Amino acid sequence: MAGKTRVCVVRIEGSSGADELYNAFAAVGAEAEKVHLKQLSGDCPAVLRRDLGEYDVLALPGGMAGGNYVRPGAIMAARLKTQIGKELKGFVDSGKFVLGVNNGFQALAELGLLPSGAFGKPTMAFICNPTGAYECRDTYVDVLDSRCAALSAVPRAKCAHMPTAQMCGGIVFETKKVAGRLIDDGQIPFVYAKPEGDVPKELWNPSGIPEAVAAVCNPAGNVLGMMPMPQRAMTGYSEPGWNRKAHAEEGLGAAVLRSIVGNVR
Amino acid sequence: MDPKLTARIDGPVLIYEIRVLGATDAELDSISKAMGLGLDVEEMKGITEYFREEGRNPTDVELNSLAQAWSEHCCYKSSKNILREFVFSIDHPDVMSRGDAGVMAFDDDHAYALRIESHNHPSALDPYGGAGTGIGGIIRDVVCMGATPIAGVDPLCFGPPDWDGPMAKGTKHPRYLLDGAVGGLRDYSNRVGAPIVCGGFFFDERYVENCLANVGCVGFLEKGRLLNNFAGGPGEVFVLIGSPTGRDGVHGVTFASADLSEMSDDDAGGSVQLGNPTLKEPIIHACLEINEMGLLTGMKDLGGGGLSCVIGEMAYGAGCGADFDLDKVPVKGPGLAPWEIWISETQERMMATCKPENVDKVLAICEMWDVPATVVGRTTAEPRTRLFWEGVKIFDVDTRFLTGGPAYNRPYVIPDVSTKADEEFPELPGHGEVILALLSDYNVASKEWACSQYDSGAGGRRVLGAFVGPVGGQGPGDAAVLTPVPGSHRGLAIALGCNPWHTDANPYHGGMGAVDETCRNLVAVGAKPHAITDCLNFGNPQKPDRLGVFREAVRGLGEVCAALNLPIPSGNVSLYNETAGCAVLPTPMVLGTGIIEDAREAVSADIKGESNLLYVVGDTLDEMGASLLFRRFGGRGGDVPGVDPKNLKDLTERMLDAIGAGLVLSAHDCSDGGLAVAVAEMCISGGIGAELDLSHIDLEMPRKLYSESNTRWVVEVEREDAAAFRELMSGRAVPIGETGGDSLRIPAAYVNLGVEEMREAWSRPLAEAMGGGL
Repeated sequence: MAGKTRVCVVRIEGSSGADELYNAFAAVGAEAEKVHLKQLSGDCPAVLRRDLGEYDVLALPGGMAGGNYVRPGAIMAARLKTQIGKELKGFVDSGKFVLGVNNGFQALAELGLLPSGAFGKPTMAFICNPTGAYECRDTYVDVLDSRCAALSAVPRAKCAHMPTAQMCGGIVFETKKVAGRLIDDGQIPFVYAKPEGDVPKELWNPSGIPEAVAAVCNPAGNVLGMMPMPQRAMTGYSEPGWNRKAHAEEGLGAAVLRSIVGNVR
Repeated sequence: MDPKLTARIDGPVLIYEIRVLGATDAELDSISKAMGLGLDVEEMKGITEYFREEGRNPTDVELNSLAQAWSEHCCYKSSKNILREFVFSIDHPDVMSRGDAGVMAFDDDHAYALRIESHNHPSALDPYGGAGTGIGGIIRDVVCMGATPIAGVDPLCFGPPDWDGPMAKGTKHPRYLLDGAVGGLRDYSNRVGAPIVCGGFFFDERYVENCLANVGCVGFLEKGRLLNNFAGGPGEVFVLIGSPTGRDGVHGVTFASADLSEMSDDDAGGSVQLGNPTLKEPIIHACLEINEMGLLTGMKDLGGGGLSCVIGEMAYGAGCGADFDLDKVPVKGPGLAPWEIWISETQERMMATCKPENVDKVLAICEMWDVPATVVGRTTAEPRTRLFWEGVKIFDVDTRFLTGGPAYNRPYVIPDVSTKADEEFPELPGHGEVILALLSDYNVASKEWACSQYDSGAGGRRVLGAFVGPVGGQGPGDAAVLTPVPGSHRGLAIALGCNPWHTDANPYHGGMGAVDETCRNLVAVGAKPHAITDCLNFGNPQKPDRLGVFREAVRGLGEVCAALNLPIPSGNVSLYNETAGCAVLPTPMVLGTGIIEDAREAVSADIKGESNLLYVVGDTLDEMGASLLFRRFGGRGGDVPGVDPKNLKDLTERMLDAIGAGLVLSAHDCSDGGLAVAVAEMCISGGIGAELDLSHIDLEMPRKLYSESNTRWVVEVEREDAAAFRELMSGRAVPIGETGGDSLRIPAAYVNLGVEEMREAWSRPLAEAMGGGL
């Protein structure tokens, strides 16, 4: 297929991270578009109508969709399910790529698309951060081998900067064994890593579980949810202390998004 | 008030005639009080005179409307003549607008908007709602210029969180207020995705009964998208966008234009507005999208005074009038009187004007975002503002009279200032102990407890934030640096400056110092100061000594800006910050912006390496007045740091030259706690110690260490660059020692403090006082 990879960045009220995710995809060469959910569901003038099937990537941004007043991601998930549930399921089943960042990850979990891929049957949930407070933190990740083929061009970096910001970064699976099994099965592309210096575990690992899960993909590898935000780690100048040491011009986030854009078609 | 003074007017809705014609002074006063107008007898007589010429009495809607427009909050009646004298005249070719927010050119294609304002009175009663709607309001000011909000700023002034002293009846404890204000800022700004990138905390017992919650916002736009805050001319349509109108926020501006009292909680009634960030977020998108399509002639946010201020001002700015259908305004519930709809300050509302042929397109975009939008009126050629209810006229006032308001030259007395002659130097423990005490003072200690709750990285534009140094060992920075244009490295720096204690002890010097500190912070990261916006928080202007303090502070602020040709394209004045005769610390809060050509060259305050040389740039003088040292250890009097604007200009240029030449490894502004605290902070953020020899400064040791002289930076320079640096500085860089080791050592003062020990002292106090922290 000719042309650029087409990325649909979904917006609803409160999904304030759409602009930054859009900018980041555009920066790595994608043909990105900010699309209101109503444009996908058809609740709009005909000229604004968009068909999900025309995109290669569906990106669910961070922010607080619907204010996050019910549970994190619950309102976005409920809207997606009721308004474009069938199209979304078809999109995933056809092997196209879905990325959920931050609040978008929480919505994918709420939809049941992660980790199992059983649409409509959630098997993981997000709870309040281990500190009990909203935490905007400069977190770090290790890149693991995974089933997520779209990430194949991402260097297997250790302790690379990728920030988080959320009230509910704590992860709960059905049993305590699930996280380890997901790592063994290649469904955990990123885990949190402890940076140098005196950083309490609750801050470097907001997942609150020993496996330090930072991202999850489905068994097919085409649905990826990440709490750390690649769109905020696009350059070497986003990591605090960048002017203290040699650093690359580009951050790990750019590598992640570029790999997705380059590998999904 | 005497029932004879009012009469119901027959018509489709409940309105009253207020019989001011022929009323006695006492009766006029009773009308003002009974209706909560906040107007004095002279002002009531002025309004009466207007209606005498009209040949009729006003309606209650008209009288309420004029009370809004003539309030201190809306028309700056006590301050505008002083502002005109000292600050309005500074012009600069980059100023693109002096509207609801100031707008400055950023590069060939882009501009940024900036504004700061207060939300003090609401935050004293309901800190969560007050601070949240504060940030919500300032965001609207930026959006109505056509700009996307890219940064929030939150200077907060409160009583000490562990306050144990007396409090006036009705006052809420500082810990409660601070926790609520930070929570309100967090939940509002995080939900709309406007990152709070820098802030400041100011703690003092004089804020116990009058806390200050100032909120600033910087927005970004393409130059061609700049909007006016008024209509394009007659024959256009008013579209009200956003929330239905309710009783929340009725009388907010008249409430903000009087002293607080123990009864304020009851009096306030609906004066504190209710915020709805989840509605605001799509409103921002809808308004910017409508503007992007070129569909608007003007936009203005509904803030103080609500519709009553916006309609008149949008019409007056275009030299026209307005016909407004008050019954078309969507309301939250039944039972609102016309005057309440007209003056309500319900949040999350914007007013747009457009040509009639574009109305449907405007409504369609709002519909797409599920944002309510309603046609509510039109502009007219005749310069009158007229309101209709079901077609019946209930309001008809000359637009100029409606939007004007008086301006006073109120009496003032120039305050006495603190001088060296009455200085009493305090007894001090060892300097090591003093430095730890200053680092742990709430005014210096780490604000991480609050900052980590703000989504400060939202937008993905941040190059430097509130904290600098490596993760896990950070210390305080000087200015935030953002790169607002995707793919470009041109940086916008944002910083605060204010020293309320200096301003209290010498208002003129304090006003100067606020600008100086802002510039120091911007220059420390390598940014050239470009513009400021200010929020002037002072006491009751009807008291001559309070107004004298205000006048002197504004004079100082204006003089430095004029000398630097630093424009002030927007600002805000908050007076009546007092309770039971006790005024707030005079607080001229300055938010400054600077431009750094390449943000990849930005400098941060953390010490970068071992065996580098340290300098203090600028003169360390015997200026101990109102210093942190004196406040903490009981000193009195002393000269208050002043500013020589020529010196500030000269050193700013030299510093920027040195940074531009790559000679500066780290730089930090020298302020609260003087040289000692500045170097200690650099050690904390760098995780590297230093050894100081202050023999080149000709003062007694405690004055060298803790004097808060303005226009100074501590700078780290590599040895091999020292000669080039000193030459550029032309003798203005005084060597003070070198970096290295894991402690701060000042042998002549018997100081040897571990970096970790200093970090503990600095990082814990606020988190512990607020009950959080790990």
